[in-house]
Amino acid sequence: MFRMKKLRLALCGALAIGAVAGPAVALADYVYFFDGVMNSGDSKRSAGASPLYEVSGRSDNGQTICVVAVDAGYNQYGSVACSDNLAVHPYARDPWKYGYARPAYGAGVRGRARVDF
Amino acid sequence: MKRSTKLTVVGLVVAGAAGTAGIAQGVSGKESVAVRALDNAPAAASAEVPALVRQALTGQAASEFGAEVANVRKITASGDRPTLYITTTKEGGACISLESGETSCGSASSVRSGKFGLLTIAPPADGGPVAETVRTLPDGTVLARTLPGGKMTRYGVVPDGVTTVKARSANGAVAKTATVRSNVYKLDLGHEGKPDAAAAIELEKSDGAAVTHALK
Repeated sequence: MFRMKKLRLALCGALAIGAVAGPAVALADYVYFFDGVMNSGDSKRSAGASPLYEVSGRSDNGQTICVVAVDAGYNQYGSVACSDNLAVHPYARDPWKYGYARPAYGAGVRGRARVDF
Repeated sequence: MKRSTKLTVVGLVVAGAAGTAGIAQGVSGKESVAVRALDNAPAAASAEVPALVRQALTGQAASEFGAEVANVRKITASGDRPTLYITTTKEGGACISLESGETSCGSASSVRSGKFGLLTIAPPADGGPVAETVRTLPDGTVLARTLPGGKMTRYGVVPDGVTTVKARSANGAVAKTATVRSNVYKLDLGHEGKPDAAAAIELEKSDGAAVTHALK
């Protein structure tokens, strides 16, 4: 009986996760706010009150690119995430106002960064 | 037994140390990376993977990179190094995630060379804003300027054989040293834009051989 209840709870949990993850992926849209050479920070305001889904960036020239989600007051959520390949910064709170990307170690990072809604 | 078979299929077999030849080919034909931690660490159950890590790995960007969400390995905390999550990618590379969700994914070659890692930059010590607006374009794009000074920390994955990772300053002096455990390390890189900021990392093997990678 206990095992059945546990199983039922697990199934409910799985369905709940599916219900949340499914539409989020299906409806996810994104905008590139940086595509080329970045010499200083570029950011993009999110659309309306829609929460950002993630901020990500990829470097084409092996330099370190950083991404972060910040609120309207430029207070960052967690640490800035940086990578030579792909950096992803997710967040839980909403609505976030900006996805923010920038180079680390100087300027001239070639690559792309985007925000997902 | 089942786990080791699966790891061979996805191409993550022990093949050698950093910078050496002899990278084995997995059954799938992908390049394999010699990272024993991925062999030894148990696959994390779905419930063990924090929601923000899952979110990062299933997002558009990591999905395009080929993160294999069903193959997340949990590397438990050791010393001052926090728990990390390592995920294989379809191309034989890996992703590394903190519990708070910040994630970096790298190619097989970057893991093999020891260049792969996640750099985090904490908010500046004063706790104030981290950026300021320079100007706003008509389409809503905000051009901003960062306010450097935050503490930089590197979380890296290195191939078997690497025992120590050192942070070197611009003048070549060793600023910090981290011990590698389970193929991963946490290294303090000083503060962004400050004199103590590291300029390179040096990977050292147990036989004393070393390779240096400039941070750029």
